[in-house]
Amino acid sequence: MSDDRNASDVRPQRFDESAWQALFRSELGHPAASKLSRHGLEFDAVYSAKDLEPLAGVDTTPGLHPFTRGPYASMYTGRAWTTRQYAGFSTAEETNAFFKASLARGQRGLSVAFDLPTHRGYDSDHARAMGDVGKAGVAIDSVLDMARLFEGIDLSTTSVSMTMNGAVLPIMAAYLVVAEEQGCERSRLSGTIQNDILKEFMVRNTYIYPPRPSLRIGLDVVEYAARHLPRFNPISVSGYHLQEAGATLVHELAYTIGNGLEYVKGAVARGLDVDEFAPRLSFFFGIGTELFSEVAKLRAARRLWAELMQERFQPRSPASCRLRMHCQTSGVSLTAQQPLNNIVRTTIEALAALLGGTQSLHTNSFDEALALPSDQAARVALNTQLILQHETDLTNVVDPLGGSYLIESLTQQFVVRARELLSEIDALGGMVNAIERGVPELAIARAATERQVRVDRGIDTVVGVNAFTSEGEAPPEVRVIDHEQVWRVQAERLKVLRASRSSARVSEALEHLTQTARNGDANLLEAAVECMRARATVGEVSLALESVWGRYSAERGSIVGVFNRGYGDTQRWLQLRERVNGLRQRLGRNPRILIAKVGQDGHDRGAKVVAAGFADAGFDVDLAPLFQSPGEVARAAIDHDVHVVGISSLAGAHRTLIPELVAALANEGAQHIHVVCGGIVPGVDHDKLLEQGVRRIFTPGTPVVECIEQVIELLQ
Amino acid sequence: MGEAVMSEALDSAGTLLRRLRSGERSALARALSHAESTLPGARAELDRLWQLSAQPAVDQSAPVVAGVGTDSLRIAFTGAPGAGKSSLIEVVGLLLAKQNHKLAVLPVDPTSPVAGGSLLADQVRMNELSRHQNVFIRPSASKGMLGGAAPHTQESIELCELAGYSYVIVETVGVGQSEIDAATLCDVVVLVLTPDAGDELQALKRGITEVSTAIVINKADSNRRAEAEQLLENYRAAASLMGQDPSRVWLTSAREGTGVSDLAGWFMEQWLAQSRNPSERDSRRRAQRLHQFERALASAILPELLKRDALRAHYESLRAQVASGEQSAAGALTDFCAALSLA
Repeated sequence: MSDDRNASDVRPQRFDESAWQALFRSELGHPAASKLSRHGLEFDAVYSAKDLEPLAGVDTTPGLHPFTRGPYASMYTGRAWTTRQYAGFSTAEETNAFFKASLARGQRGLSVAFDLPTHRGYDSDHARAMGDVGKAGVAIDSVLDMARLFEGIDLSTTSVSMTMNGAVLPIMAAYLVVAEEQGCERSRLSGTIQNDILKEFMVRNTYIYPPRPSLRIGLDVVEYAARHLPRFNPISVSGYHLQEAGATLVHELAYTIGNGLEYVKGAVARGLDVDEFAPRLSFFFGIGTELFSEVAKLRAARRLWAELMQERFQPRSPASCRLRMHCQTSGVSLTAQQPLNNIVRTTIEALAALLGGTQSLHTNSFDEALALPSDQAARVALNTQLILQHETDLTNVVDPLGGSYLIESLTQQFVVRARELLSEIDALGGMVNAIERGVPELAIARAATERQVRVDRGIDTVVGVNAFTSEGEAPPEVRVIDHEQVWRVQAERLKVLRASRSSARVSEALEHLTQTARNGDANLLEAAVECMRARATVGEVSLALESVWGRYSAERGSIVGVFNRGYGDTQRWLQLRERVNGLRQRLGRNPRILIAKVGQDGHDRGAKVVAAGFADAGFDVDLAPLFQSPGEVARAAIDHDVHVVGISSLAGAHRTLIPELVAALANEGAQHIHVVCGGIVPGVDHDKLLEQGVRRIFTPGTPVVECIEQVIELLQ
Repeated sequence: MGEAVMSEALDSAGTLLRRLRSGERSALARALSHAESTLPGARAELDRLWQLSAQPAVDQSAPVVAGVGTDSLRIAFTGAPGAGKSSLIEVVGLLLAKQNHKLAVLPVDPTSPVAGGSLLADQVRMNELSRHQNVFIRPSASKGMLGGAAPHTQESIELCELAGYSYVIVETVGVGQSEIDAATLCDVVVLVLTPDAGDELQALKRGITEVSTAIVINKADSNRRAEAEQLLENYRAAASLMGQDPSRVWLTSAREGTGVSDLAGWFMEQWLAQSRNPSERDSRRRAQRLHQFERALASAILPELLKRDALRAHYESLRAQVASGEQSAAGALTDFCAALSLA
């Protein structure tokens, strides 16, 4: 008898919920409960076949509608994903050398990062450009720079991805003219231009014109591509920047799909057949360390897109419903502390993107929380992908996690939650209206601020930052750009260019572009191509359009109250508030801080979160407009009689613009106003900045509360 | 830190006045901080400054720009959040600044009741204006004052005038009574509405906007033009019924730049009319100062009285009785006043 029972015990049985519950309780002493992830997703402690029962149609075919399991039937089993590392360094020549080296090392496609003045449509010699030239990307002022960028690279065989949104017309036009002058047929060009302007108004802020004309530009590019560029993706609808700015994965998914639908709606409204262009739309997602959630997000994205395209536009071609994507590992998950840990994070994220079925991938370099990537770090990043491709068994099978109880349930959860958010957007009259009312921007800022509070309080663990910290590591070597050299080279080239071209032809082409913008009857990219042929500069083309539409500056919201709620009555927060009260008594008014960004860098998640923290602590906080010059920040600091100026710098402009700010304050006799800065400021620059008069430097990962405490100390 | 506070205290009133009159931005900035300050030193210095400013300038070498109230037009912009006040000020302000008028803008933002801090982001919407050399923008927090303006706003306006600003715009978030409060501070009140402001039309009929000297229907962009014009007609009809000048209603679109030059032109007319009739302006200035004084006095008097222990105890017990319904509010008031006359 006892033998019988033993035999039945080891025989496999179906999942038994109550038996499992009982065992769980005996192990831990409490019943199993579901958990909320930091992105607000619900996780049960265990999943079983029962969870699949309500999900109709999980068992779909890769390559067929709704493409949940992959846009293609073969996925990586035939041809691995495209390793596509985003890169751009200072001058076109240096970037060109890097591209050639990467192609030789096994990279499959190119991805161009432009510097901020190019994004914002300024020539390198413009007064507002100076501090940002050649930082965070390559400076492109004209067709000649673009030709240097692709010198010796055959554009008919190399696919090129360009991260460009604001100045999409002159940049896309310059690329087309270079291809033309290389003798390459337009129809053979392959690659992607980001051209996703809507998300720029939610986060990142590298727009130039107001939302509606910006949307027209984007759609003109789509229309042009539909006519002439059959192998080119005219929009890469991007969730990446939303996640980087602090959006939850559900927000990232919903708003990205929402933006994509808005582009399709716009293109259809101007008379394009949906099947003419929809198959060429591509997507771009960010991938964080929450592996299962990320896999499910990518699968849900494909299903949602397929379903919504079918519901709303009834395309005839299945390819119009097929979502293809690029992914990049999360920049915001990287830490300045113990930077080698970032290799591990990036590997997990890369794995998630590949299990989710991405078509191409960028892996971040481990030193990117400190500076632009060094050669060594860039090599490790690329190798991460090569190891995943060649040393693991990842490429043996299509949709490796398909059918997993957890993954299928999570995929469903994403679809349901994203649809809820999308109906909110529909109720507001669509994405453009929602953006004009600041709805997505505010939702993202709130999520970012809440996340910051959780990390600062140690509720969310970040290894090496708020737990398992270590002292006294040697900082890695980081890349330093000699930006003055780049600036001199670019300025000189612009001078030569302006002297050598036919100015009559340039003005005629620019005038025609302005007319096209004003009349709204012809394609702007056609007109921009003519300008670039005539050797007009990126700045001149942008200015010609600015004369019609103006330069846009968005209102910015920040979430007040989150810190007070998040810290509640913790001892530390109460003490801090008490110290602010003390300061208020002594200063006779609220301590006042101006939070600003200088130069052309529009990444303002950090600035908004810090502003919210200071306001909650009891400071009067002036949140300055984006894209300020050091002189403008100094003037606001003096006019508002602030006690402290806090500068957020992420794109390397701190080396020139922050010292200029300190000097501008001194010039006006306002040395008593303290300057502090935070963001990506490499350790090697700290001593110099402190010597130049910066009072405190906050590196990434510094809790906002600690920044506030240090500023209070400064004022005491 | 020490330097800031020390120099704040050491800035003597005479120097500050001279620097103010010669148009130094940092002097105006400092004086405005004094107006917000609770420090006795800052108060004393401003009081001295006002005394000095009433005397003829001793230092003849310093250019005298303007004295208090001379040739200035005070304009209040009020309206609900999202009506586009800041964007409208940006466009209209630039028109004034470009014609060489000096313009000061004093936006007042709500203070967080929890922490006492505030987020001042108005300048974001006045980006280009804030760069203009003829313009001085100084946002401040309302410090819990419900009327929209802050306790120091009156004095801040006068300091801007002393520094030679001939137009001073006060921007407040409109909640109910704030137009009336703004009217006691300013010469012209501009109520900013949006084309869908049907509810506010009801408010107009109830008479809340009686004090508004001008109504602007903003965001009358080309795609909302018809809606805006309908609202305009309704307002005109209502205004004539109430005996107001129905011509003082404008349609503007800060985004498209329409209607704004008419509004700027009207401000300039008002400025001229006022400078041609100084006696009327002076009597209004007197009334404005008295009103502010009385308002401040009324709000200060109770905390001052309650510093006396006996009175505070009596006050607390009356509060308890009123709260429980034991005593009517009117009865408690009589009781309290009786206690006052004994004290």
